[in-house]
Amino acid sequence: MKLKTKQISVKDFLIKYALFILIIALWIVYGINSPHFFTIKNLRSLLTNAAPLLIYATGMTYILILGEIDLSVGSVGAVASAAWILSMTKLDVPLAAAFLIALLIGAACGLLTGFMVVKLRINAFMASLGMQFILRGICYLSADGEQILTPKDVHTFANYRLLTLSPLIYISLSIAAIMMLIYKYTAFGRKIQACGCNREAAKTIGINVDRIKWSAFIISGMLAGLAGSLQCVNFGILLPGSIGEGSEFLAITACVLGGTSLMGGTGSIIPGTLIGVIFYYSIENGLGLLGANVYLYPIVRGIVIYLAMVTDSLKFSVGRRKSKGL
Amino acid sequence: MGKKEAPPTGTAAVKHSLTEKLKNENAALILLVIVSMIVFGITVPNFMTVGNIFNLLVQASTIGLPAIGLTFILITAGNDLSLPTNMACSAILGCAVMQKTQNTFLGVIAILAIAVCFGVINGFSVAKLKMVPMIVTLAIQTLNVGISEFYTQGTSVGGLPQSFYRIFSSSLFGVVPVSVIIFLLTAFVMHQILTKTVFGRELFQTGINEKAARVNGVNTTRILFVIYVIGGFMAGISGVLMAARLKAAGTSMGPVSAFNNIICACVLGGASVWGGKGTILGTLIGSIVMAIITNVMNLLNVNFFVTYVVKGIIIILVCYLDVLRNQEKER
Amino acid sequence: MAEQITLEIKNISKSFPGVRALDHVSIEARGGEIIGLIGVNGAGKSTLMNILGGVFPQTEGEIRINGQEIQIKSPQDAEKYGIGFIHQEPVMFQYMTVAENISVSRLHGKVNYKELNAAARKHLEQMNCDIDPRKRVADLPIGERQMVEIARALSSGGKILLFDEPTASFTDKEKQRLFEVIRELKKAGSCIFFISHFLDEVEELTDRTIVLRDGKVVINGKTADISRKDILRNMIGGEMAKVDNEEERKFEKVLMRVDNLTAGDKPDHVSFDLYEGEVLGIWGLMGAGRTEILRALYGLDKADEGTVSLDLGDGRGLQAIPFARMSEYCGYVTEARHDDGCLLPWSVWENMSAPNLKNYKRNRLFLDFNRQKEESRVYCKRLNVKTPSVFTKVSTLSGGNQQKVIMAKWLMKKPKVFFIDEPTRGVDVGAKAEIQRMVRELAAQGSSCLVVSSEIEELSAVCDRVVILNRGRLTGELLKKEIDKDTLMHLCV
Repeated sequence: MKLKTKQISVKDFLIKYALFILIIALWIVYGINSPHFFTIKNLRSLLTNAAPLLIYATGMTYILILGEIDLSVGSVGAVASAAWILSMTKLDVPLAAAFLIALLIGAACGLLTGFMVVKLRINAFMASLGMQFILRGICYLSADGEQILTPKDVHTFANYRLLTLSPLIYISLSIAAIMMLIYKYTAFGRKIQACGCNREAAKTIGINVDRIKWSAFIISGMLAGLAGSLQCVNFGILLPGSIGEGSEFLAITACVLGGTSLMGGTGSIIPGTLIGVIFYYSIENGLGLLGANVYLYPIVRGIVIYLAMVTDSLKFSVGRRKSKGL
Repeated sequence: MGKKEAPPTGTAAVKHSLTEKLKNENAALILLVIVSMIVFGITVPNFMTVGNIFNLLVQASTIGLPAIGLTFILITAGNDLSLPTNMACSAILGCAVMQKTQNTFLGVIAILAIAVCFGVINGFSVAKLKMVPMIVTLAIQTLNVGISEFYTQGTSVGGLPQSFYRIFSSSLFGVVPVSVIIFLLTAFVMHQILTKTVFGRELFQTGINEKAARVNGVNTTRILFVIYVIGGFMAGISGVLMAARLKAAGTSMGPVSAFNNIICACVLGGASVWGGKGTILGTLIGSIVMAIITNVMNLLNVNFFVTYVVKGIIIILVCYLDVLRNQEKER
Repeated sequence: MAEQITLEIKNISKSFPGVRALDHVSIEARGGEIIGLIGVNGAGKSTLMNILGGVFPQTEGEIRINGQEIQIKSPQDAEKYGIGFIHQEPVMFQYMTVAENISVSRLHGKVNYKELNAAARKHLEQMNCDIDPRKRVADLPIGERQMVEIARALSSGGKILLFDEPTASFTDKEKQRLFEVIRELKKAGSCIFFISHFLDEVEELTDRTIVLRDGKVVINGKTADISRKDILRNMIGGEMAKVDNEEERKFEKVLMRVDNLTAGDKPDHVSFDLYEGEVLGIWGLMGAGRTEILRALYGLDKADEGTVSLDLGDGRGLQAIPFARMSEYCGYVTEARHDDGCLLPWSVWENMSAPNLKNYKRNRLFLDFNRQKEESRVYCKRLNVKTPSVFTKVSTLSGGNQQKVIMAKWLMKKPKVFFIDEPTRGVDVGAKAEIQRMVRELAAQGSSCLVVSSEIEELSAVCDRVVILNRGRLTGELLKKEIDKDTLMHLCV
């Protein structure tokens, strides 16, 4: 086996890095056509907009690496942000303390989903879909179906700048970094990957798979709570119907674009998921700068994601062929 | 044979075991439907009227038609998130054709053809390119929404020929809506295909164990392709009926979230996201249950948002029942 | 050398609902000893190992290590007492590195990769292995994965090592390497249990042989003192059923011609003829590309080059058939029964008719289920499938009976050619003989079979001719009377 030196053909190289090539090609097109694309200002606004999705996707990466799925994160974000805003407007809780409440509520939702998956053995797809319904309903009910204006504190928070950057950027990037470090450099993170690679084996060597899984759902819920609240900051208004709507699928898309496998076992937050999120947002950001019709956005988005996934599947099939040749 | 024969498994059941099958698969659900019909009939005003029952079936058909397509897809452990958006998208584009030409036949064909086209893309990507169904159909969903919004720019496509409404949104004998007839007829045909044809049996083989199916000589690539096309076709039929009922086609016909109702109907009816399981009868009943929930909540004037919570709880309960049932079997 | 470890198993019994898997088994073992554990499927070897490995507890009896009674309630307990379990299919986290695989269960708090890699390297060196601990396990060949698994057992202080059929998927070289490592471990004072189906391996490697039958120890003595005949007789508790394959048969008509078949590395330009009514064996070491030939011929893997022609019996002689359509004319009994052989949730009759649906149509559209069931019943009786009825789920049948169901489904299809891959792996001795006899009967009825097997005895029992495969190429051909071990080994290396 050792005699086989690494011979990378041009075709294999293209297929392996197709996604990156696609991203760079897209950026070059944008960069050429709009002088504003490659500017600090644009990157800043891109990162600020992407902050909530990055946090959703960070939590989702853990879940996907475990080979599970969590479709409730968007609704968790909605409920948590409703709790955040309502506790400030109705109960006069200070912003930071209300934040804590949002996180706790998010964690509690994750706890419940985790309970259903781990203890009741309900399929994660369906359990989290059920939770998505329930939590969305609760969010509507708690806000009486109305939009609620965010209190002044939130605006101050949103407009606060540290070294010209929005706090959202700091929060999202540091969370991604922390979660990456936990994944890579702690026993907990390693055990997550072990469970995702081979659940039965993990059980045999004495890893408490249930506890790991449950923790991942709690973490994902907590991060979803945070992400929902930050979405609220970005909107400047509590929209019970739009916060987190579809975020779960966006998060999954971002993770998969970043190389995380839906089958579990492999994936990364930095660079993987981060690239996925930035790629996703840069599609629209660039279109906006080019002055394209707003209704065109989803078409381009759909096509680009589709192409990205095609290139990814090509890589996969090449890998499969290779591993068979062993 | 000395011992009593065990009932045949799931889908291959034939007539003599019909009662047994009901016991296994759908008895709880049918019972639930009957009991709730009786309870609601007594307690909810206007529930047990002929008009409302057909209204309920019409609602069920909107969920049920794509759910039939999804049942085929779920059996292979696949998924099609683009069903509702495909329905809206193809209805919008097809209706545009119909509006321009004022030709009902051409319009309907256009709707079905466009819906099938999206099914073909899904099927090709999953079967040939071996892409993950959820991600492919998610991308197609985004594309559907994009095309719909781009074309309608927030409005809807109306001004369709009268004959279109006359054919598809009329009622037979003034009572039975045509859409209900088409729904039940489609369900019947699909049931026959799923349980009694070579294709149906090969589909189940693919869903239970794709590798074994290939060894058995099943062209799994073809099967995987065809089911997404069927899914697209079902979305198309649903789009035709809905456009006729609403007398226009718009993006609101198939919001992204409608997928949840569709998959709920399937899972209530015994399909599993793990694949290998699913019946058309179950899905039919599942979609009726979903319709009853919405209908009763409407009649009772319950806050719309409560239905979300109720539906969520029902999904989780049904899945939990399924878990318990499987545990029992293992023992 | 440190203190000698001793393991005492006293009067251990284990009952499962309806079965007594172990019946008052007592074994003593000490460090520096390799014990071979053999027995037919269901004899209780795996049960014993699973008890020691902490997968489930014994019903009665006690286990003592160095005289101390211990309770093994979980795999972690086993690890704590120095018992390491090396599985048949290396249990691995393929996307993680070698070092991570070795120590993941013992990680706490922060992970220091330097320490991790150093520790892994130490244990691998102990076994004379130079595997880079930073490599991902997915990139290692299967033999090296087993080494990683052993290193994992050693790293947790394993003194008692249980090897559960470790060589099942090894090349000869990998096997020799493993044996060296095991001997090395023996010298270091480990107590080793070695389970294998291959008697020659047990003879070659072990100091003591223990034969289990029906949950009881029937032989326990020095390997050198026990004859192979004794072992065989005691394993099955009677004479083995003989397969009658004496007569020399002549073949004239070529039924299938394979020309230059190439798919990736292997098979590599393989050509051969298969005659009508002939049983042709394909012999080669693991990894020689035996299964790959069948898969490529059957259209499951893409062939890069080559053609296959069949005589369809329509008077037109041999005609080329696209690989994708071979499944219409052939039956394929695969190697991995659970993986791609049966549809486990389906019943016997559903499985038996599954590959052959087109022949069970009632009219142009619909299937005739009653005919499927009736014919399944007939074949159940003919092949002596032990099942309560054809409605029984295949998942509840024993391995041998599942294999018979698979044979039956192809018999019902009546294909021109049977591809049979390791037909008796993991099947008990009784069913084994029956299945081998079945292959002979097929041939006698004029069907042709292509049989892959790693057991020379099996090939000589069922085949009329054997072709030898080495690294994807055909290197020889033997008629039945010429088949013997030395010639085969000579041709395949």
